[in-house]
Amino acid sequence: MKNMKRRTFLQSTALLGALSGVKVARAGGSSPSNQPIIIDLFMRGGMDGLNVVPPYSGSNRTNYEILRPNIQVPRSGNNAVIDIGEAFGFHPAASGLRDMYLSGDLAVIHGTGLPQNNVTRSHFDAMKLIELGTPESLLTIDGWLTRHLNSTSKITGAEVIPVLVSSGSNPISLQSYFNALTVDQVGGYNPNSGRFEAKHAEAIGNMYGGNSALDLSVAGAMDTLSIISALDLDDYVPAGGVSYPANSTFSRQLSLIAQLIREDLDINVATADLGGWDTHNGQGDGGGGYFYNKVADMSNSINAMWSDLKAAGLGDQVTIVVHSEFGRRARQNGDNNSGTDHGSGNVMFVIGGKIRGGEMYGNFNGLANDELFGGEDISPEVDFRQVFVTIVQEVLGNSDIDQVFPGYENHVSMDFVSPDLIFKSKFE
Amino acid sequence: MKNKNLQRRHLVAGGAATALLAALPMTSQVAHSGTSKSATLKQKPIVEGIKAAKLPNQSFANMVYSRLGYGYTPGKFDSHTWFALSGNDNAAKLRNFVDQQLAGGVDTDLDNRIAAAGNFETLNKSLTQLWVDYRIDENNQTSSYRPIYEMKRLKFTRATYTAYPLIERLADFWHDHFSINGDDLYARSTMTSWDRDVIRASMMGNFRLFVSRTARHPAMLYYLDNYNNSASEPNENYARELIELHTLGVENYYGLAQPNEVPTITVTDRGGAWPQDGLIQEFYVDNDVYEATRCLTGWRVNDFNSAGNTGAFLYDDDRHDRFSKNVLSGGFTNFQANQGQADANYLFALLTRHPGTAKHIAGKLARFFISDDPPQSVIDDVADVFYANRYADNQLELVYKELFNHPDFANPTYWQSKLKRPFDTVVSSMRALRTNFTVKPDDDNSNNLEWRMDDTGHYPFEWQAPDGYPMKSSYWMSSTALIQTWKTVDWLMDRSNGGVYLTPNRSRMLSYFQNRQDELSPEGIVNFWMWKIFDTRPVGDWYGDPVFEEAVNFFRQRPENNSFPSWPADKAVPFEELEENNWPYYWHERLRGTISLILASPYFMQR
Repeated sequence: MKNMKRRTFLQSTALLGALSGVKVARAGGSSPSNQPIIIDLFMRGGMDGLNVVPPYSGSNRTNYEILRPNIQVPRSGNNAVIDIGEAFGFHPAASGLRDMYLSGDLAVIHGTGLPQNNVTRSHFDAMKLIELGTPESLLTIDGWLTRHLNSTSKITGAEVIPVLVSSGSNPISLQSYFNALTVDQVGGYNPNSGRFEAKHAEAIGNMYGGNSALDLSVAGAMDTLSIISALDLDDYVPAGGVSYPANSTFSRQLSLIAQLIREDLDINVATADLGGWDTHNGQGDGGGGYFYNKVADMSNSINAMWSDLKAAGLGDQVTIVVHSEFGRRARQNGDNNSGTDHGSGNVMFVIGGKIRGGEMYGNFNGLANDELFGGEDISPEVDFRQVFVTIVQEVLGNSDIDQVFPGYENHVSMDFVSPDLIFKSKFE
Repeated sequence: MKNKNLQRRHLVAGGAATALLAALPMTSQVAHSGTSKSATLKQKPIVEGIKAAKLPNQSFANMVYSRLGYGYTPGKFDSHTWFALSGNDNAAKLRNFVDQQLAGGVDTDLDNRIAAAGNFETLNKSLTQLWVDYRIDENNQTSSYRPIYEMKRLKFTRATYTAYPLIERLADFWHDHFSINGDDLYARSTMTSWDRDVIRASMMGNFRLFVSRTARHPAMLYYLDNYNNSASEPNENYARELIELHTLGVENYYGLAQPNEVPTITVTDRGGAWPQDGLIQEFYVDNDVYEATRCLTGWRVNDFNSAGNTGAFLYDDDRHDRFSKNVLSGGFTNFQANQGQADANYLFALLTRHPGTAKHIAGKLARFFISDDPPQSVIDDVADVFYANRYADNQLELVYKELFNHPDFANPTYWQSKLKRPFDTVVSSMRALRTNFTVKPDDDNSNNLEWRMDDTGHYPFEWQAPDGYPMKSSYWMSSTALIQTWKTVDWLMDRSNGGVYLTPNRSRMLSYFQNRQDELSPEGIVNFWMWKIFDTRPVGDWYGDPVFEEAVNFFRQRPENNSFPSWPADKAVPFEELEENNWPYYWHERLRGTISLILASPYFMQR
């Protein structure tokens, strides 16, 4: 199937399906194509990164405990912060992140966010500004991933599925991109299932033959249909004996991403979301509660997907980016059962075989009053684009940064990409 | 610390808020800059709007029914009922139609269906009754989800069978505008009251009163945490969304600047929190959110026994921040100390009567009812009416009349320029095809519909974030939303119980062709159904139309084993065979697929 064009793929499988009714079963372990793959995971609602990677020692720890007397992750007790022998530790529910960190696959980047002049406390604007990749304009017509896809030389047009969105709807980072396979479940995926389903789908496609956004979207939907029905996607077996967390939508979405990547359809970009991070209230005390469960879902699901892909031999191809639209305020907003209001600076995670993990990057400005941004937030010292551009240039091999992030200047590599894979698993 | 001094912020919305309203006191001309670098973008939009093939020669009546309701409904909203409206021309008929719809009245069919269902048990319960029965539920006899469960289902039945679909469309708009997650702890037990006592009771009236009612309802107090907002532990969640989503809108957000850095405008309002010189900020900044949070401290739900535990709004002066405050006033005090609950009332007046709010609501209504990118003229005119009537008891009714009778609404350039959302596609299919299906509690078909609609991403009241289900067409263009919607419609066309179809397509068609059986060819059948779905029969029928040709080709396709030919396009199918679903042609499945196909066409999907 390697390098088979999408049209060819669809035609061949449609023909096969029509003639024999036999589903196309992919040969397991087929040699994967070698394009780099980026998986963009958006934590929507404003993830409280300060509690995911809380300070473990030093003055930051002292200030942290003053700022968050009730909702801090404690140093001891049932839900103690995970000590990794550094100034920061991990939330007790983030053992999955910790494991990837210790195995050298996960990099933590502190103090990221919108440029300070563009900070907004609106969820919806902050998401748009980040996903459009233009922190100074909400009016940009396409998303940053769309511009990457349109400018990278790695996309040749030969891909069956260049982009996979494991969700119900496309993210703004893919605005004005119409060739994504958008699917959040693969069972019963047909507008007219039964003996006339193929002709029905073809007829719908023909009715939308124009060049408008809707026409192109329907064409993409009909392709999705054909691809899903051509593949045998039941009973997925993750590699390396990995088991994904049960009863988690996010976990199911990530499992689908891993499964379709392993189908070798030349996926270059995949995205998924995890919402519910807007913890103004009832965030949880003593490291437990609502936030604990949310972190566990994120951490365990991502760890499962990464372990699956790595065991399948795809570790060096895959880079996972985990981020939110903003962090939360350093201070808790009440006493018992309280939470945190909207802030700005936050952590990002970058995971991959080409990433020099097991290290912390970025710039954590500190938690003293005069170190906080506006006296309130973890300071956004690192433009989120600096993280993305480091990946786009050094991992995805796209040097057309003016195109992907117009208006972004004076880039300096964050240096979290291994110059030589030999060194990728080094330990501190 | 680097960058300790915050630089001056700009309106992040770029040019979105720059057009000035002639009749509004927006005098400032400051540059809302920050977009210059984006001019270097190389990409061009592929399209403007959605613009797949439009229904040819759409009638004015069809356009109105589609956009101000859930589409053509035989015998209720069709070319004949339009003709019967008084008025000499379409504009006059439209005016009368809008007046009738907004006035509301007896709704016999709908009432009969609800009565016949017999198991909507929450509809006549007061807020306190709902609270006692489903939230407190001392004897543990009910599910706390019963009210939201009923409201989710009732929404389908109302939209499909009401005589006042415009009211349902407006309720849909406002439920999204003041969106709460229906499964949230207090919302789920009080949703019947939220829908009846807040949304429907307020949506024809004054916007200030509307906002005030949303603010005091336990569903909203809990969902956005204002029940837990006190002087010692302020929680800004509600105050932020009140300003960003419910009133001024993020298009009027000036970021983290200081209040005295924001351009000002002069208004005529006085009293309350209005400054004596009428000089107020044109936009809001974060400090206004913090100060508004303080105005709203002490707001709670009566959810504890010592107060009676009624679920009603409760003001707790001990928790209120009693000191002076400033909101939208350039940093000068405009809320005096010790005003108690009046702080919030003055705040609502200030926000809802601000010119920016008029523009925000007008733009949103125009994007909901006309186009994702409506002309500025209609936004300006509707905003003017909103603003001029900000003290009127029927402010919103006047706003709707301005919008729907506006020349830009009638301008064919903007017809069929929005993609229906999944709920709307499903309801309009049921209406056009005369589906007989009361969606109700404890019913297999309704359960089935629920999980199918869940897959579309548009099952009512399940949007988690406070911004409501997206109204922009592009959001609903994903393969998931499209395919799951069509799959749901297909199921509605196919579903039968003991041989009785929810949608009586076959019996309806056969009764028409009973005495003209020689016309029962694939072409005759598709012509019939396009006539029945689009309420128009072109001169010379639909021959040559691309949707027609696709549907005919689908209907007459070869059987799968290829041992039989495709059916000739103009040859009648034996009448008896159409009553069955037998080998080799399986005519029933073809008929179902053909009707589903026409409903999936751009002619039906765009409004």
